[in-house]
Formats: sequence, C-alpha cells, structure tokens
Amino acid sequence: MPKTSPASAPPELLLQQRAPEALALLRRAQRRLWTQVLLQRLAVWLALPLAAAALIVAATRWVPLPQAWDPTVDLLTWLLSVAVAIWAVAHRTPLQKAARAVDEASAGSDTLATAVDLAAHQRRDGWAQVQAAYADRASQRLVLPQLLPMRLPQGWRPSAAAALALVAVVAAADPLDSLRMGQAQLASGLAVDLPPRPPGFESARQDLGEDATQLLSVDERLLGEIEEQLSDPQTRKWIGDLRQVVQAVQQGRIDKRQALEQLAALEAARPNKPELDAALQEAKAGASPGNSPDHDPAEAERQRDLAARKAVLDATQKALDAAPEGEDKKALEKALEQADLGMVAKALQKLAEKDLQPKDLEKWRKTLEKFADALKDAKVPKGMEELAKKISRLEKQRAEQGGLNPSDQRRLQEARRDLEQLRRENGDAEAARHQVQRLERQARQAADELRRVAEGESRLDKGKGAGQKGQQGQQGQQGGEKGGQKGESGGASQQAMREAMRQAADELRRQDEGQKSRQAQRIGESRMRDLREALSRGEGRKGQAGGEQPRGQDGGQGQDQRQADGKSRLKPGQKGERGQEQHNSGDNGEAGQGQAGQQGDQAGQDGEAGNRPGQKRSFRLGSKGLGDKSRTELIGEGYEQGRGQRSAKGQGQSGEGGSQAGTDRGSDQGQGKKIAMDAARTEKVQGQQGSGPDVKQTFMDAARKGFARQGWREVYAEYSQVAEEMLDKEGLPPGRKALVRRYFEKIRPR
Amino acid sequence: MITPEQAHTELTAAQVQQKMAWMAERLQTLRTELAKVVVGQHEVIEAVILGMLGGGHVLLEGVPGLGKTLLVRTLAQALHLDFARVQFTPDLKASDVLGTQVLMEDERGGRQLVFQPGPIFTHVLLADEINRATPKTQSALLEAMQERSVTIGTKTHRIAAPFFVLATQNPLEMEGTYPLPEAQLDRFLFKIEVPFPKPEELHEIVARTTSGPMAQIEPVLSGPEILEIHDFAMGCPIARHVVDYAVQLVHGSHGSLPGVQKWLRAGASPRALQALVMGAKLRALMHGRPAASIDDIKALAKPALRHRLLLSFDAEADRVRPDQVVDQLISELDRRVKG
Repeated sequence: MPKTSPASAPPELLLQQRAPEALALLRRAQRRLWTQVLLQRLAVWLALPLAAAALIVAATRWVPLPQAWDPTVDLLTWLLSVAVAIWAVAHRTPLQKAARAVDEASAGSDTLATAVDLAAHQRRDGWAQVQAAYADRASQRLVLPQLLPMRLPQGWRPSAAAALALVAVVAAADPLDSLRMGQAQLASGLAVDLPPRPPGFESARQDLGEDATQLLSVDERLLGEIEEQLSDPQTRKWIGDLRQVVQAVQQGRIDKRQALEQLAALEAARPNKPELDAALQEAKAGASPGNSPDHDPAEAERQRDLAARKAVLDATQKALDAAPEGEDKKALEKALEQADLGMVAKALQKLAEKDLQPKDLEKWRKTLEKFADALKDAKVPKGMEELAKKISRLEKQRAEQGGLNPSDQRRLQEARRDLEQLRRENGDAEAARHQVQRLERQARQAADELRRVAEGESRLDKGKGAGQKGQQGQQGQQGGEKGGQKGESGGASQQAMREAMRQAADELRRQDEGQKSRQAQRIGESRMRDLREALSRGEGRKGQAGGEQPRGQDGGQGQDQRQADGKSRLKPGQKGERGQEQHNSGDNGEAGQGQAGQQGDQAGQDGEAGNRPGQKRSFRLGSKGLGDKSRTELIGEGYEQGRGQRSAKGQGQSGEGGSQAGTDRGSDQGQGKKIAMDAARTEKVQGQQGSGPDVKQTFMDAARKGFARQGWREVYAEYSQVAEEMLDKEGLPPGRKALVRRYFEKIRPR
Repeated sequence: MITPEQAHTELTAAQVQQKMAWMAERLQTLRTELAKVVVGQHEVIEAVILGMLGGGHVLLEGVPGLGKTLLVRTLAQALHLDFARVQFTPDLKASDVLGTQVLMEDERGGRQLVFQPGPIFTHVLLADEINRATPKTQSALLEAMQERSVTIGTKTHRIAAPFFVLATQNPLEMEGTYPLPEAQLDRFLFKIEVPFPKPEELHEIVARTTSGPMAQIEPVLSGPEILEIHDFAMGCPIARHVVDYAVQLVHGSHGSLPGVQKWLRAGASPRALQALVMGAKLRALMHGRPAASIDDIKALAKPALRHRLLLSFDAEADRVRPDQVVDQLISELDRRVKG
C-alpha cells in the first residue's frame, strides 16, 4: 500500500462522498458498540469504586475512621466514580473497529474495513473509489441489529467485578448503621434523628428462654383441664390463649419464631394474679419430657438412675430412725449424707461382721424391715411404665374413635419410639429395678434372721436359767435341752443373718457400681459422639484413603463388630467369658468400645482397640473389674475413651466370686486375641509381586550403573558420522539414505 | 497494457471496474476450459491459476493417477504459451534440463561452442516427479526458478516471461527419491495437495475418459494477458489489518504464537508473506472483489505455508502434519486478534 500524507481529510469525509450508506451504517454500528463497551467498562470500573466504598463502610465498623477523614473518603469515592464514568464516555469506538466488527459479523470479507482503511490513508485513486462503492453496495444489505445485537457485559472481568461489589455490599450489610457508627457527625450535621436499632430477634426473646420452651412442651389437654378449674375469666382467657399457642406448636402450624412472638405478646398481656402463677406452675410441673423438643433419652435414663438411687437412700434414711445409736448408725448416716450407696453397703457389711446385742438385734431387725418396706414402695424406673400407659391410652383412644388427630398420632409415634429406644438402650435401668427388688428381699430375709436370732437367744436364756435351778424336772430339763439346741441354732442363725446382711450389702454395692458404670458409660458415649463428630468433621475427607479400615463410610468412619474371645483365668467348671466388642474406626484411628461379660469368677467388660494393620492410631478403654471398685481408664490421647464393667457373679465360697475380677486390663500383649467375625469387613489384599524388577528398582539400578553421562550434543557428531559412514558402506536405496540423513538433521543440536 | 505504476495510481474507477470485469471473464473462461478435461479439483485449479498469475511456481503433490499431469498439460493447452515436460529420473542430468553447449562447425569451417537450450526454455515447464532427480539436477532448477535465467559456462541465458514451473511429486513412493531441500521448496509459490476425487467426480471421470475422445481445449489466455493480469493485481489494495494478519501468521511460525512453538523447528520465509499477499490480491479479484481480505489470507495459508514450515522432531514423531500446524497457527492468531 503506498504511503500517503497523514490525514489531510478525515476519513469520514471521503467516505461521505463515496459511500454515504456505508458511513451511516458504520456510525450506527459505532454508537451501538460504544454503548456496549460503555456498559462493559461501567460494569467493571464502577463496580470497583462501589466495592471500595462498601469495604470502607464495612471497615469503619471495626476501626472507625477519624472524623476528619469522612468527607475525604466521600469525596474520593465520588471523584473516582465520576472519573471512571467520564473516561468510559470519552473513549468512543473507532470507526475502523466498528467496520471490522460489522465485517466479521456479516462475513463481509473486510469490505467496510478496507474502505475505511483506504479513506484513512487518503487513497483517492480508482481502487479506493471502487472499494468504497463496493462497500456502499454491501452495506445496503446489512441489518445492524441482527449483526450486532445488544448484549449484557460479558467476560470474566464484569462478572468478577460484580461479584466483588456484591460481596463488599454484603460485608457492609447495613450502610445506615455504619453511617451511624462511623459517621455520626454526618447524621448530626444533617439533623437526622435516626431511630435506635431494634434488638435482634434472639436477644429480644431471650427473656422467654427456657420458661417458654417449658411451656411449649406442656400437654395442651393439661392446660385445658387447668383452664376448666380456673375461676377468674381473665386468667381463663389467658390460659386459653396459651393453650391455642401450644396446640399450634404441637400440631406444627407455627414455627418456633412465631411461637416465641406469640408467647411474648401473651407475656405482655399476662394478668398479675396468683391464681395464674399457680396454674402455670402446675402446668410446668405436668410438662412431659417426651413432648419437649429437647427430649434426650440418655438424660431420662440418668434421671431414672438418680430416682432409683434416691429411693434406696430414702428407704435407708427412713429405716435408720429405728436403728440403735452407735458408730454403725453414724457410719450409715454419713453414707446417707454423702448419698453414697457404696458407703451404705460398707456400713452394712461392717454391721454384719459385728456381734450384736439382743436389744440391738431387735432394733436392727426393725431397721431392716423398714428398709425393705421402703424399698418395696420405691418405684424405679417409672419412665417406661408411663410410656407404656401413654401408648395404651392412645391406642385405646384410637380404637374408640376410629382414628387419632394429627397431634395425637404424632404423640403416639413419639411415645412408641421413645419406649423402643428406652427398651433398647436402657436395659440396665430395668436391671437396676430388679436389683432393688432383690435388695428388698434380702433385707427382709436379714430382718427375719435377726428376729429368729433374737427369739432363740431369749429362749436360751430362759432354758439355761431353769436347768441351773433344777426345779422343774423332766420338762424343765427338756426345755433346757431344747433351749440349748435353740442356742446352737441361734448361733447358726446369726451366721445366716450375717450372710444375709452381707448379701444385702453386696446387692447395694452392686447397684451402686452399676449406677456408676452406667454413668461412666454415658460419659463415654457422650465423648464417643464428640469424637466421632470431630473425626467426621476433621478427617472426613481423608476417610476414603483408609483402605485398611473395615468399612469406610463417607465421614471416614467404619464400624466393625467382633466377638472377642478374651483369655481369662477361668476356674474349672466355670463358664467361659463372652465378649462383644464394637469398634468404630476412622481414618486415623479407631475408637473402640466393647463389652465383655463373664460368668464365672471373672466377669467384666473390656473394651480395647489395639493397633491393627493400616491404622495409624488406636486407643483402648478398659476398666478394672468390679472386684474392688469400678473405674474408667482412658488410655490413648485424651479423647479416646471407653468403658469397662465387670460384674462378678461367682458362686464360690462365701461370696468370694469375683475376687480376681478387675485384674484383667485387656492389653494387646496378654489379652483378648480377637477374631474378626464380620464377613463384610473389607481387607486390603496385597497382590503378588512378579519376579522381575519393578519400575522403581529399574530406575534405581540404572542410576547405580549410571545414566548417560555424555550430553547429546557431545555424542551427536560422533553418531552422525558413524551413520554417514554406514550409509556409504551399506547398499541402501538413495531415498532411505535421505531419510537417515533427514533424521540426523532433525535431531541436530541447535 | 498497463504497467504496475499505472495500476496503482493512474487508473480511474471506471478503468478498474472494467479491468476487473475483463479479468473475471477471462479467468472464468480459463476455468471453464480446464473443466472440460479435469473433473472437479476446483480448489486445485484455482490455486494453480493463482500461482501462475502470481508469477510463481507451483508444486503439486498427490498419489499417482489423480490427474496432476493432466491438469498441467491442459492448462498449457488453454494458454497461448510454450509447454515442455521433463520426466525427472535419477539419471537425469542438469544439462538435460538446462541445455548444453555443443561443438558446431560454421560455414567457414570454423568450430565453436553453441548453446543448445534445454526444455527449461519454455513458458510452462512440467517437472514430473521432480523428487526422483538427484539433488544436483534439482538444484539446476534453482536459478531458473528464481532468476528466470540459466547460466551455462560464462553466459547467462534469459528465459522468456511468463515462465513458471509446475512440478509434481508423489508423497507415498519414497523409494529411489530425493526429497526436495528446503531452499528449493521455498522457490515454489504454492504447494498444492491434490485430493482424491469424490465419488460423483469419479463417475464423471469414467464417463469422460471411456466413452469418447477427449475434449478439445481452446487457448483462452495469452502470455501478455497473463502478465497484464499480474500487473493489474499488483495494484489491488489491501488494508493494513489484512497485511498485519499475514505478517502475524508468518511471524507466528517463528515462535511468537506459543501454541505451535513445539511443532516448529523453522518458520516460513518472507517469500511466504509475499505469496500470501499476492495470492490474496489475485483471489479477491478472481472473486470479483476489489480488495483482499483476511479470508483470502486464510484460504491461501496452507498452500503458501505448508512446504515452508520445517517441522520439529517432536512433530514428526507425533505425526503432526504441516496443515495441522497451519490450522493451529490460524486458530491462535484469531484468538489473539479477537482477544
């Protein structure tokens, strides 16, 4: 293209003369593209100042700007925005660019762009004129909106800028609040009386809190009954409103937030009457824990355990009134004060070892009878019975009415679920009740023995007195002999009494340890839950990598059930131990929780987790058995926990069974050779190695022998020369020779 | 007759339009004549005509039997030009092509060396199976193709214009062949790959060649007309951005476009750029447009570049063909231009 003088006439003028249609089309395209580009630029460059301003506003929440800075920040923000807008408006799309865009969109073979280019280069010859005319004709066929439709800003820059601005605005959250906090002077300067910010929902309803939750769990029928009993109309109306709210909540018609709002309104309109307070107390007292949304079966079990414990202690307390004064009574009183069944048992044990005076025997008999009576009255636990009654009542209601309303239906399902859960999980609580019953029987037996001992000694005294005096002949002698026999039998009876008291003490101790072990179990389970959650949160992603874990789940946890055949010190004729162990294994470790029950001289619960192949960390938990006392040992890294329980049921001499219990700690070395019984457990199978070296070995061998020590550049000349010589010697076809030469030419170092 | 200077500045719009119409008519007539014998192969014919009008030489590559020789021979018949054909063989000597000096006895009985021109002294030379000749003989064509002259002894003999070489070679049969060196390949304006005919074209070929005598070709274009078209096309305008595109394409083959860098050992020469621009101008005029466009550059990129790209060992090992590299070049360049 010939060089021409720089633009002596604007290209638009030349085009106006030669191709007016094309020029008009290009101007329209120019405006359209300019608008398009303007939107694009504004999307980018106005979003950035907006983001900056929002970030500044957000930052003032934590670090309030000095007051003097505020006008400066405002001014800078506005100036930046205006400058960007001016810049975007001022940069118009060049005519050449518009022509190329139209050509590209219309597959126009650069007709318009070449015409503009020739005009820009001041070409006035015949070629330029022909080109302009050609472009003019071509432009008449073009429809601009079809060629260059208006589009939203595209590309990553507008999207990124918009996202950034959105994030910043969200971070700023409440511009008015920020203005209030960081730019208070602005508000005062404008004399704007901004209203105080309302408190958040939760903080506003915080005062309702537990009270409201408890009210919402009250049975609405109970509220109805209470409402019927009230005399004051205002109070009745208030309770009626409360009942409607509770009914709405329990039927799921309103959510918690709405319920709290309605309760707040009720609280505001609450009449200040003692009758209402009493009614509410009664309602709260009748609130069923099963209705509570926060109902926890473990908590219910704990309550039942406490109730059982309290029942035993109360019974002992009642019985203790009749006990003779002395150290034994003091010891029992002290045990009762500390609410320690173990100490009560020790006191009873000590009492059983002691030679009691006849008057004390009578008093202790009365004490034990009272104790047995009190135990008989103790109802432990009540939860399951109440649930069963509730289910029975609801089913009866359904049978009578042919169905239940949704609320009752839901209540029935919840009760069944809770009952099932209690039966499944809280078998120990039922056992505790039986233990209390056994304790009652043994206490009563001990009392009877005491009574018989007292009667025997009384008769022995009488017989001895008559025999010594020799005044009553044969009958008296027979009576004396009988009395002597009674005296002997009285010694045996006292022994039996002691045995009965010992057994009662054992039963008490067993119950105490059972409760403690259940408590330890609850703690252990709670910590296990925390551990599992922590593992699933922290190492869930790694869980898939644990190929050795028994059964991997999404959270990197697996479960493995085994039966552990622990090595125990069994005596001949005794049953072996049975054990069950559960393992919860994660990616990095294994949380084991096991139970091993034994019958014989050794019974216990043993949880362990040994190091197994493929597991990086493991922990075990075990406990000493209950030969002396039960305790929980945490072995591992602090968060691995288990429980152990051993109950001695040995039938050995003088209740010595279980003397060895508790010595088994279930270590990996000496204890519990475990046999995996779960067929679904996944094992990592190692493939057999072939006879040849693997890839790594090949490379290592090559490295020892030495890789190529000479560089390619150094050997190239030699190799190519040898190849050339061979080409001369060998009778290769010329074309093949050329190929070889071409190959060496291709690989020639550069 | 117009000179190149006149083509640039002195032609009026009417003259340009008139010339364009004449050129289009002549070229259309030429294509019609060629189509009487050669079935299909429109792109090949167009590229051959463009190469001829552009004053360059064309290398035709294709398997045997595709009509390469027939095309060249028919083209020669359609032109009022001298035509010579040389079958290149390994024992062909340079003198067999260029000519030689022979000892002649004059009227007075004196003896002198007289130059006997070889077949290269013609307007259209068909160098059939050029890669079968030895490199020495191939090299004998270098001067003739570039300088359009032959030097024998101390005397240089000019070859009459127009002169262009149409060479053929077989890409498959490499036995006993000598691949053309890069320097000689660069002498060819275009390298055209002759594709296998389509089924309907095969039907037409059978019908034409087995049912009667071959069609008679009438000469439609003379040597001066060819030169006139060439000069006229030299004045065809080409916009700056179109030239930029061609420059970027050639420059990209030297590593400025990262996507193809690993496939290329050496890029195209400036001759490639000349071929692209000149071919684009001629193509635009052939299609009735007064200016070249980027589309013309793209259409001619493969014929102009494929034999000028020196592929790397990696490319040959990966069986990457030059056409794929050219496609990649165009793709990268389009992305850069739009971005």
